[in-house]
Amino acid sequence: MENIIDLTMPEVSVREIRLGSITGFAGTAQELVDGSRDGTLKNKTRSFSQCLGCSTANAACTVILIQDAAVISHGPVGCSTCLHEFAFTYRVNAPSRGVEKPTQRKVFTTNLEEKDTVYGGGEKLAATIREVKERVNPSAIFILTTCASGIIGDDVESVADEAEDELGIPIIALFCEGFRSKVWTSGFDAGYHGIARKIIKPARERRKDVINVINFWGSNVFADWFERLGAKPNYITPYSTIESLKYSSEAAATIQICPTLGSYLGAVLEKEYGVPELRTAPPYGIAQTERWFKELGQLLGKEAEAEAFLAEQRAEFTPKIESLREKLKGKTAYVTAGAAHGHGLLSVLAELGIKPIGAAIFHHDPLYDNGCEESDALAQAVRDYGDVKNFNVCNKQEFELVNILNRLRPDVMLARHGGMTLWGAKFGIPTLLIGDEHFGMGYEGLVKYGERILETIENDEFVKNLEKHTINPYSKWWLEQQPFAFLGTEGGDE
Amino acid sequence: MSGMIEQERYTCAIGALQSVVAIPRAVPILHSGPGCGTLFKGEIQKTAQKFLGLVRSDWNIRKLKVRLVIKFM
Repeated sequence: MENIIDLTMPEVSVREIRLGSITGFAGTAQELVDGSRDGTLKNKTRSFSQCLGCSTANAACTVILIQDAAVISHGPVGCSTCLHEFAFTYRVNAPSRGVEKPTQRKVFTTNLEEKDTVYGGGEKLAATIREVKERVNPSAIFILTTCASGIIGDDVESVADEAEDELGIPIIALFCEGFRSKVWTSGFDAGYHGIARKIIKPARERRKDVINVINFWGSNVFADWFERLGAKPNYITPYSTIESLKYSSEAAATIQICPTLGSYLGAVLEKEYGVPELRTAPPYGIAQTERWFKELGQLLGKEAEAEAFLAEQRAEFTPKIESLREKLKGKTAYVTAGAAHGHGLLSVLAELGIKPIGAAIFHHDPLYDNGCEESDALAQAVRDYGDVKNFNVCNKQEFELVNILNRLRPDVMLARHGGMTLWGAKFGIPTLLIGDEHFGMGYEGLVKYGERILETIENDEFVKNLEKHTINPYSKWWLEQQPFAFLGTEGGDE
Repeated sequence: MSGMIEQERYTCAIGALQSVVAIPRAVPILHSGPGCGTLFKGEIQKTAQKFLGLVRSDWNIRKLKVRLVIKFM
């Protein structure tokens, strides 16, 4: 395994190659952590598979929500079919980030057709870039590649470079063709690679009062927390501007809310631009919250302030956490989420006295781009709270999830992606999806999450009724098979 | 030559999936890249009441998979 950061190259390699990431595993969390360290981790492929995510959507996620950028999907019309959903995301989460008038997202497609796949789509792309500049005058234009543009071999990089000279704004090609990787978070890396190559500039000065936060669109909890340390967050990339991204190289530190998201950019900011990345895993659970704030305090030279803040938090929230533990004692839970966030949820559950009896996590990175074991949130969860059985690395294979839920029947299921919760509900399992990825962080996060879990478990009448009237689309035959009957068996995709 | 599209609000011919899932006990097998079905899934889940989840058969469609789909139902 080699950590490759080369900003002179148009593309960043996919996670399977760069980090040795896998999408198929069945065992326990401890076995996965051990395998990730001793080199025995091996991906298991499936001989039967349902749909996966697509890297192009993940790359889009890193650039569409930049306030003043435009995005062109260079492909057939279907490849950008879900991109308008980001317009909704942008609008509903804008108030929590102080964006009073969220503008329409500037999303375009070159609309490649059959003829274009024969004669090439380069000219169409060049014409689209000019048209986009004319129509919405963005500060930068990002181009998302797709399977079709990859197969016909359009020279997207050259078209982008030429247009950049002509129009005088950054025009960035992101190489995120869906078929390049089964780990769709490779799309995040593609997006950040483009930003690091063409947007971020070398630092003019070092600022002690700015901390980069690589995140999605979660609530603005960091503003209050960092204020105590004399700093403010620079959110990357949702609700940022091209200007604010440009000088993220000047920040005092970079923190990850989910290293699965920002692994690559955190490492690039450190290695290429000298911004230290906070090594320890995100602050989920009491033990990790303590470590996280102490390390951040150290990094900023504000140890005393971090200690004082933690003491206050402890005093305020410990009684509430105790009382939640009392109410939640003996409950069991199942988690399905993206990698590091799912690991964080395991810590939250265990801290609240709920037993995580299994998890289906979308992929696994043995180590992140910083190569540091401390950043591994799963290893931390296992160290702090013990092993988790029925730990499954599964790229949203709903047939496996259904089979497992039918066997385990947890008291509650936590999910982080839409479309997964319905399976819990169909089995009469109260299921909770919290979209705000900052919700469970810190001491206050434990209380907030605990209260929501309690509320979900107590209000189960709807799902119990639903269970009675639901026809399970899967056959009895499948529910009687082992959940991993198609994992690592003959005929799997290579 | 068809031109670029701004703020696209429709999708490609994979929309045929929706016609298939609307038929009781019919399952679409998608012969495509890994993520094509998911890009469209948000649209489809709004209408499909009894939805198995899309079956993907990227790169090579195998008889095994077709048999399996029948068994799953």
